[in-house]
Amino acid sequence: MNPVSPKLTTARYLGRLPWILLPAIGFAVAAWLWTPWLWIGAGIFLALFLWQLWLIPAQVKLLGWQETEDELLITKGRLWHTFTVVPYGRIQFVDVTAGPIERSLGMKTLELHTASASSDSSVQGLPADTADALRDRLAVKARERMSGL
Amino acid sequence: MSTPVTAPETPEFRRVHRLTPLLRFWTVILAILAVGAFNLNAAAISAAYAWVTGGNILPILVGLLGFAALCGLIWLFSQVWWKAMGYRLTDEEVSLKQGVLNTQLRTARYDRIQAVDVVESVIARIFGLASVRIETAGGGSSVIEIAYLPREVAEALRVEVLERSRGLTPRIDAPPSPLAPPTGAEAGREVVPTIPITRSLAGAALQGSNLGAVVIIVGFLLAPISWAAVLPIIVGLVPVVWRQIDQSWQFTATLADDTLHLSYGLADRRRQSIPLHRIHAVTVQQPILWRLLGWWLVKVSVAGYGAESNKATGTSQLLPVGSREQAMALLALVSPLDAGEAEAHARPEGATDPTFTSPPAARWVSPVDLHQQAVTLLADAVVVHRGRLGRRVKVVAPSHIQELSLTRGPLQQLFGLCTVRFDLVQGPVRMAGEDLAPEVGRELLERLRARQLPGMGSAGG
Repeated sequence: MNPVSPKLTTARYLGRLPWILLPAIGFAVAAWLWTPWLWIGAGIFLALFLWQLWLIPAQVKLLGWQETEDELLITKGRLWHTFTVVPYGRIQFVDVTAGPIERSLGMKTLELHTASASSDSSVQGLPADTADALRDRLAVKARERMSGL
Repeated sequence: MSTPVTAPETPEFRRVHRLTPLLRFWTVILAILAVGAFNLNAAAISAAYAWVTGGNILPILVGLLGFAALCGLIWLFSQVWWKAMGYRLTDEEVSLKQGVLNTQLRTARYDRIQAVDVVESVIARIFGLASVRIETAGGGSSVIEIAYLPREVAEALRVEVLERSRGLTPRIDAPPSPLAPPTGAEAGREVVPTIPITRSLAGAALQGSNLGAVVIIVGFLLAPISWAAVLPIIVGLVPVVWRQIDQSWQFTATLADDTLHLSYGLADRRRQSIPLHRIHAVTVQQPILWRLLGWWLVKVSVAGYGAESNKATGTSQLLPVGSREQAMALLALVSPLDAGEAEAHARPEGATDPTFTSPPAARWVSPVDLHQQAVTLLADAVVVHRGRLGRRVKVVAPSHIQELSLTRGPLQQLFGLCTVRFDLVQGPVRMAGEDLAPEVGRELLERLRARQLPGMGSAGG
């Protein structure tokens, strides 16, 4: 399995942690000002913070993708681990997206769309040039092996 | 923008209508205006009146100017988004770009297009606009919705896209037309004779969820609680019951030219045509209370029809309520199995010769269903059984499985289990080999990975 860019950890930290840290600080300040009961809230958010601090690198380490002869394999997930097999012939279209954080770190997200609704076949945190090259390769392979539904 | 497109010669992006960003968020804008109007209460009006009569109209002028400036600002702001939107038709694909912060470029090849619709929503109709929906049979958001265009432009675009998609692949499916005249509906073989009204009503009444709600309502009425507590439940229940009755009301299905023609409806009578080759997967199921009467229902997943809750595409039920013989006849008709095979391997009451079943460790994850969940691999079909109380069997041809996923949740990781999910086209049929031992799950995955994909001109891999 090819790993994704380790910078994805940074991106997810930047994307998630502030939203946990801000309420934690808010609760702490409020507890200091008014009633010590509010330390409970601060504690919960701090626990959530530490949990995410551990979980995000674990998730990123488990993210991987691999091209085989006929299929693209994607693994992801720490708690809900999934291993997805996408035959090239099933690809309907490919999205390449980049949010502000991802873009500033030079990464892109590649998302495969097949006719299936239940699966999530996306690869986050690909280096921008890898994502574009993979998209082009997938477009060619999807055309070569195109199958009916 | 950020994504280069590999098309030989790329024509310019065409613009959508200038109002598009505003119309997309018209509910939000309406809400803001409503809040403004709501705050314009009597006190504010009398204050304004006092200012006017007092000869001091400056605050009102400032207010009006401020409002106009705000409107202008919203307009200018929306134009930034409008500038980023565009669509184009190349020789091979249709693309749509949108977004300022999150840029997106979505492309679809013509030979993947299932249907092209022109949709006029209420808000768009006021401005004489319409959107073009290009269905590609992907997942939930697989539609390329080019919104909004003047009505004639939208109609012309629909014709152009349809022509281009036909030009490349002559065997592309005709777009589904539920409103088409009922040709052959009378001539064809009757598969499901008209369902009696009493059976539709009884079937809806005996659905477990409805009965549960009725029990709760009666309980509330007996307890000394006011009507107010019951009302939300009733309000929530009405659309569900209405939909169930509406979709089975005088339901008739006939078969002509390998196409199923359905006809049903209480409020609007609808006629719907489902070509058999568009049916991907089928489920025969029995809610728990229907076991008393021996009734079954049959649902199918059809490519391009989308989610069951999507009312625009009509029903996915081939048999809303009917006897076992009717259900088994339909199963044999729409699945790869013939009548004998269906009775031998896909009895809806439970698996007869399962290939894979859950190990004893699965009792911690699935205590009730443990002995009922089974996967049967046949030469040209995969059969999945489930359910001890309500019962169901699902059948799909392996070639119709889109993706395969091996998943392990936290509990499954703890007890050494895994689930092999078959990712099918969107619809009521969802299939998975639940709670299998890891090596069994991997074997199932490998055997299904070797499946032959249906060809489309070039050989499938």
